[in-house]
Amino acid sequence: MEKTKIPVDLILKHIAAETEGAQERAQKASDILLGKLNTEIAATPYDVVFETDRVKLKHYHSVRTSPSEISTPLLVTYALINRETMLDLQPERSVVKTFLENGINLYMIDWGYPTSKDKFLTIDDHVNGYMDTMVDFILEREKVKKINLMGICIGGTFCVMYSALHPEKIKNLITTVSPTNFDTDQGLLHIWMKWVDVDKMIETFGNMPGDLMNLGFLLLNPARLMIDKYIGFLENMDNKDFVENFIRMEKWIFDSPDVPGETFRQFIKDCYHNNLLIKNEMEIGGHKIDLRKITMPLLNIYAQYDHLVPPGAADKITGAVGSTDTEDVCLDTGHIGIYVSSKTQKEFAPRIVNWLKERDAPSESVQEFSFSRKRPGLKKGSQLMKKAFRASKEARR
Amino acid sequence: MNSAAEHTKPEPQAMLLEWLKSANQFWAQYSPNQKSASHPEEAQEKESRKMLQEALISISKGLSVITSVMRDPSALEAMCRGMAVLPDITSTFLQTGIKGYSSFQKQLIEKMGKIGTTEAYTFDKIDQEALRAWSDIYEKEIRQYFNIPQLGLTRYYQERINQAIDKYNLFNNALSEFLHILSLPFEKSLKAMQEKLEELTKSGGLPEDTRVYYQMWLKNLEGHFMKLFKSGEYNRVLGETLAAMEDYLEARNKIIQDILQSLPIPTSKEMDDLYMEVYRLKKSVRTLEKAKERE
Repeated sequence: MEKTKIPVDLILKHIAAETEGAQERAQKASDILLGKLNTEIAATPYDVVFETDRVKLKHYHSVRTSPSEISTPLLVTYALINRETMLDLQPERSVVKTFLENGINLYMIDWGYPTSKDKFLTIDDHVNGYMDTMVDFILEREKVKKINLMGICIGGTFCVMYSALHPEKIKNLITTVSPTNFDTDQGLLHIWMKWVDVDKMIETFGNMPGDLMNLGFLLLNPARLMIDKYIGFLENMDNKDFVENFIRMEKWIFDSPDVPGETFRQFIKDCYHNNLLIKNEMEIGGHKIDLRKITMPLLNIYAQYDHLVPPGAADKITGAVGSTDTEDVCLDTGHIGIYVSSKTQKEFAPRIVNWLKERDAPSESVQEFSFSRKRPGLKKGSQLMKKAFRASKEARR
Repeated sequence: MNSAAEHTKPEPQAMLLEWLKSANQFWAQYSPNQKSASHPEEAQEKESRKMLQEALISISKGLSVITSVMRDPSALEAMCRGMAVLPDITSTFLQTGIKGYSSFQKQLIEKMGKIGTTEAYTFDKIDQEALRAWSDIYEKEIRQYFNIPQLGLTRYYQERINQAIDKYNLFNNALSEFLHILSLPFEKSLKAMQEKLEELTKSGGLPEDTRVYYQMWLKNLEGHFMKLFKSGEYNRVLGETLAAMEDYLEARNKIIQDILQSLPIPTSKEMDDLYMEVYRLKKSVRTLEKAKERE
């Protein structure tokens, strides 16, 4: 019979070393946790320049002294789930900071915290109401005819709807991890949502509770999000920087406003259940959303390992819009990592800045445009170049 | 022989009559026209004894009346009929309880016998019989009591309270099932780890670093969770739990509504009506403003 080999001595040696290390860590950690910690988030200075109901418009202070290559103001629309503070979690990992350093005139919508009185607000109220009011405000304040529009997650879906309904006000459109195709089984959310009785849920809760949604997000991967994450914290709690960043992230994750009930109901029914948006069949406020009316340049960024908006939910939009200047970018990260991971800090925001520069510079040439790699049968030919040039001219008008 | 024994055996009605007679005589001796039980020498205790005596007299009067009424043949017969069915009722109650309990115990024992025999990475046929046993008992034996039609002035309030209790119990049942299903990946991943360790031990490839074991288990656990979350069974239980929670919250809110209605503050329904009106007004104003701007 074969004799088994168990390196008991080595295993015990490791356990002893780890126990010793854990003791030292605990000692250091108590000093750190009892000491002063800087866990402030969204520290970049801004002014609230417009406010209506619970919704605010933030305008960030410019940090550049030299003239910017991007003259068109950029409005960032965050999702209704969680808060826009994620784009400015810490100075070294701040999309906001990168934008400002590159001379972008940055506005951002803060959707605030919906209360019971907001439960009747629909997608129409958000897109044709709040968003349109904010866009008009910026156009008037900046004395421009068009703005650049960027959306985060469902905020990006709202931007797609807005750009289809008001293309005359948008110069360039950027969608990031934004779901537009809901007929996919790639992500658990897409599977689960088919089982949810949204009518009953909204009748019961009024607004969709943020904490309930957060619980759902944690359940998407409990092994990592509820166990391994905190084991990681215990292993690194003697590192002050790690602790500070970890707490910043915890602050952001569990800062979850409720979602207005009627908006949630319509989004689940029209998008998750019936996938109307990508089929050009969705209606808001009596207006049909025709994606072919999106003729401005479109940059669509999504993440390869996104468990909330999987690639299959995000990569169809470039093929559905009327624009000839579209680009799909798939980054090697997850839904949140795209904005906050140190690896993507060099990729995500700088890529957007460069894309905007190419389309905002006064002497831009058609060769500078990059074309969608995803669209079938799309070739760089002279006729196409002319078409793209016409489209870009139209967009700039 | 049997018929002789039956003949000599006293009739229950006759026995009861005899007992009532003697009880009546016993309690009658404490009535006020009987001689006082207190002794003349115990003057210091007179007051307290008097109070006790009065209490006894009051009780004896009551019992005397009851026993004399019960001696009436028709009342006696009714009581005897009641006593005759009492064993049947008790036995029905006991049988129901024992049947439910033994079925629950049987399923629990069967479930315990299956511990450690679950297959890794399969969630199609999850054994939840033990948990369902309690749900069945509740559904068949207990729930009906909360649906008894209520009577009188407070019937609607009582009905809503009963409904809230019922929905709370149903929610707890659903939640137990949901939590049980969430615990399965842990059970299955530990079993898979056991098998993996057995393999590694045989091949002599056991890692020295304990972190490797943790990572191995975590990856396994993650895989089991993913498999579970994609199963139809999980989605069914998740949907049912959410529905049960919503039912309970709705029933609870109705009670809160009842309470609020009695207080000088607006109810959530009244507030909702108001919110709706404000919402419509704001929307009209916004539309008019935009139309005016376009002009």
